[in-house]
Amino acid sequence: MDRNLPDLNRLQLNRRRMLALAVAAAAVPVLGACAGDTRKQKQAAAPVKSGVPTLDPNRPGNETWPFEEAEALNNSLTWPKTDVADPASKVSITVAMTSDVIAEVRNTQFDFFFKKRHPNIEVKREISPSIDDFLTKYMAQAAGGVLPDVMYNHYSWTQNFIANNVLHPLDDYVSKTPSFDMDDLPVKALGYFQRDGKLYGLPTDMAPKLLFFNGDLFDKAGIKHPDESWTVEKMMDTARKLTSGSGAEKVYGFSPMPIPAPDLSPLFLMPYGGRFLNADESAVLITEPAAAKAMGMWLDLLLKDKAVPSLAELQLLEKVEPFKTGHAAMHINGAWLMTELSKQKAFKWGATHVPKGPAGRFTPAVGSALVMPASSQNKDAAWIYMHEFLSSTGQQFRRISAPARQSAWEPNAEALGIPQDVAKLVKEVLADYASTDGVMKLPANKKVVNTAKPIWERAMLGKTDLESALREIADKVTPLLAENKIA
Amino acid sequence: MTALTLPRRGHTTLARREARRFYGFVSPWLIGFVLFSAGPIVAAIVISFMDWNLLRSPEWVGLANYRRMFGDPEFWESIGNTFQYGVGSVALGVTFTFLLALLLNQPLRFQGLFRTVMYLPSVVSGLATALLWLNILHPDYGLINKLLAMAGIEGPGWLASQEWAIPALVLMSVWGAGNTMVIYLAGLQGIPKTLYEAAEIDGAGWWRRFWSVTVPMMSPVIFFNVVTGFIASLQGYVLILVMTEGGPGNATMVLGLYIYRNAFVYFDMGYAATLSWAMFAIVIAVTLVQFRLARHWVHYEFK
Repeated sequence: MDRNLPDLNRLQLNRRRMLALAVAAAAVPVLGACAGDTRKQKQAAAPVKSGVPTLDPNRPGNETWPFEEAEALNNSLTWPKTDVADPASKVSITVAMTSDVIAEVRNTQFDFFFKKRHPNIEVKREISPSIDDFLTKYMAQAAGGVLPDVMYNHYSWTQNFIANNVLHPLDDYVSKTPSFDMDDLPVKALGYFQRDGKLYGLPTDMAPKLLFFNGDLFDKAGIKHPDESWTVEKMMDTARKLTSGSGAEKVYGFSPMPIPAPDLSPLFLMPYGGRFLNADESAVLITEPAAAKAMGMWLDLLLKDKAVPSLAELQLLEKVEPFKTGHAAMHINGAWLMTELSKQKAFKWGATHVPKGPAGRFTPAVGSALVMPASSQNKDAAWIYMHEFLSSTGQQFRRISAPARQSAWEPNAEALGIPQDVAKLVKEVLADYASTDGVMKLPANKKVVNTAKPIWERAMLGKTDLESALREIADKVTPLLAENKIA
Repeated sequence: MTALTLPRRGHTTLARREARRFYGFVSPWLIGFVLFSAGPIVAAIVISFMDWNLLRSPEWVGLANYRRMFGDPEFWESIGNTFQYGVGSVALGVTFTFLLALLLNQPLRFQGLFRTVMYLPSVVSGLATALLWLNILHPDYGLINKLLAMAGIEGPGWLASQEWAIPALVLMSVWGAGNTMVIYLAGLQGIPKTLYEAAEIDGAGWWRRFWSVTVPMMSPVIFFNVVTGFIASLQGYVLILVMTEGGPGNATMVLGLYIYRNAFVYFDMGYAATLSWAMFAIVIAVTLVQFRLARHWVHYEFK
């Protein structure tokens, strides 16, 4: 008999075989999951609901944030007062935030002690671990006219919410709270949350971008560490000198390659007198000589000197920032990176001012805020919560690494193991030159970035020249800026 | 003579009971369809004529979104990428899984084990598949480039290359084609044994039996897999979102991803609804063309 002929008796997939196949297939991922990383299981020993450990409601805490420590700290701090009176009867407010599992334990402890101080205010927390999911969820809720009483806001969202009359201005509440020290906040970084003289958001965290360096790589090459005197040219020259190796072992002089991101202008163009967009984000300026010169310098550093990671090399690195793994000598990032760097022992690191250019030194101050939606039915209670959460005391209690309250920097740095000299540097930069100037914040910012980025990627791949790429960016981005005209 | 009067259909107790049962059984699907599919479909038509960012009331703009779409170079770019991906993944997927089904239809030892192994990728979650293929396609230590290097060929950058990103995604799409393979296997087992015996008596060799018996008898199944595979590939974007986010340089910006970006990154709901209707029109048009072409190559034994 021909072997190609189907043997129906033997080949038939009867119900029992199909069931066995399905069970076997389903068992594989389950067994695989059982054999996975046990370290994470140990960390999250408590029952988990939606990614957040289920905590004892009477003594919330875990290994990272023991209840006893939180209680002692809470009792040692002086909590600020406001002239806004507590509600006479029970009210409930909803607080929506994006938070990781670890920080959420601390936030739950904050709420626990807050409720002790304000027994008539019930706090319901809504948490989204992903910032993108958070925005999608609350945009959908906004369409339905239902928003929380207190809501997290990324700096790039707030102007869109303000333009669409979603937020309630906070100036009256601030004026009813004499102890609310506005001078303790980075005033130059409030622009994200202001419009027409009104303040719609108050920052939770705010940090400038700094130049980080790998001290070991500098010492090995016998090159002096970067300092305040450095210029962009000197940083690029040094990046060329410190680039070595190939493949997975390659060390880059600088990382990452600048791309059309919201803070492209202050970090890479304004030191040369250029800008991506003009100040009110209504016109594209990237084709002008100053900006084109700066972009060209970086493109040369990538294509000619190969001193910054290319797109292919980024895939090689699995999109992990090479500086964090000791494979880049210099890196510009937000000051919040200090927390992560302080925990690693693989290499010696340092941080200093971003380099200056012929037109000066610029760096963005970026962070997030809490806002109060206009639809809130319990605005007074919402303010009482915001006030304590955003106070220096609140930020010290929460031990966040880049507190918007300047008075919280040193105590938090000490608690988190961040070198005091770096904490002082951050405060100095925030007070001196970090600002919102040049950072895209108006409604079209995502469209602008997503439109310009693929064009710039083609330039990074060598598929188009600098002039053509910048002209194409200008042509395609210009029509999008009409969305930034806010009435 | 007494005339016998039959009760009219639907008027007997049995017919009414049957009708009640019928509507009882279909009602979960019907209610779900009306609430979760038909409602949004109708809403999407209306929204496509509006400017709506979710934060303010929708504003009627007539055909403005449709005019914008026809003049949008990114829309046309995404259509081109979608067709490249669709044609590539369907051609490779349908051919590869058909050959695989033929092999797994052979009476071999451990046949059940082989079938299980080949089906396993279909039960792996999308994100795990994406992470796995990011490693397989890794330019330096990825399996594919390692194999190419053994043959003296320097592999491309795959997902970091504008030219190779779509072919890389097409390769990956075959990975989860276990369901297609199962459908082929069922089809192969339904071919009457007598046809092969008759062909053998007529002196037909292996190739002739395959080409003149297996392929025509399997053509309705192949057609089904081509139609459903093409529709799925036109709509697919999740793995592409995870793996490339449409890059590099928009090389993998497919229509599904472009709709997602407009809806859930820009919250430009009117335009996203318009693009969704464009996708629907494309799916219908492509499917109609496939049905028209099917007259020339699909063989139905019983009509």
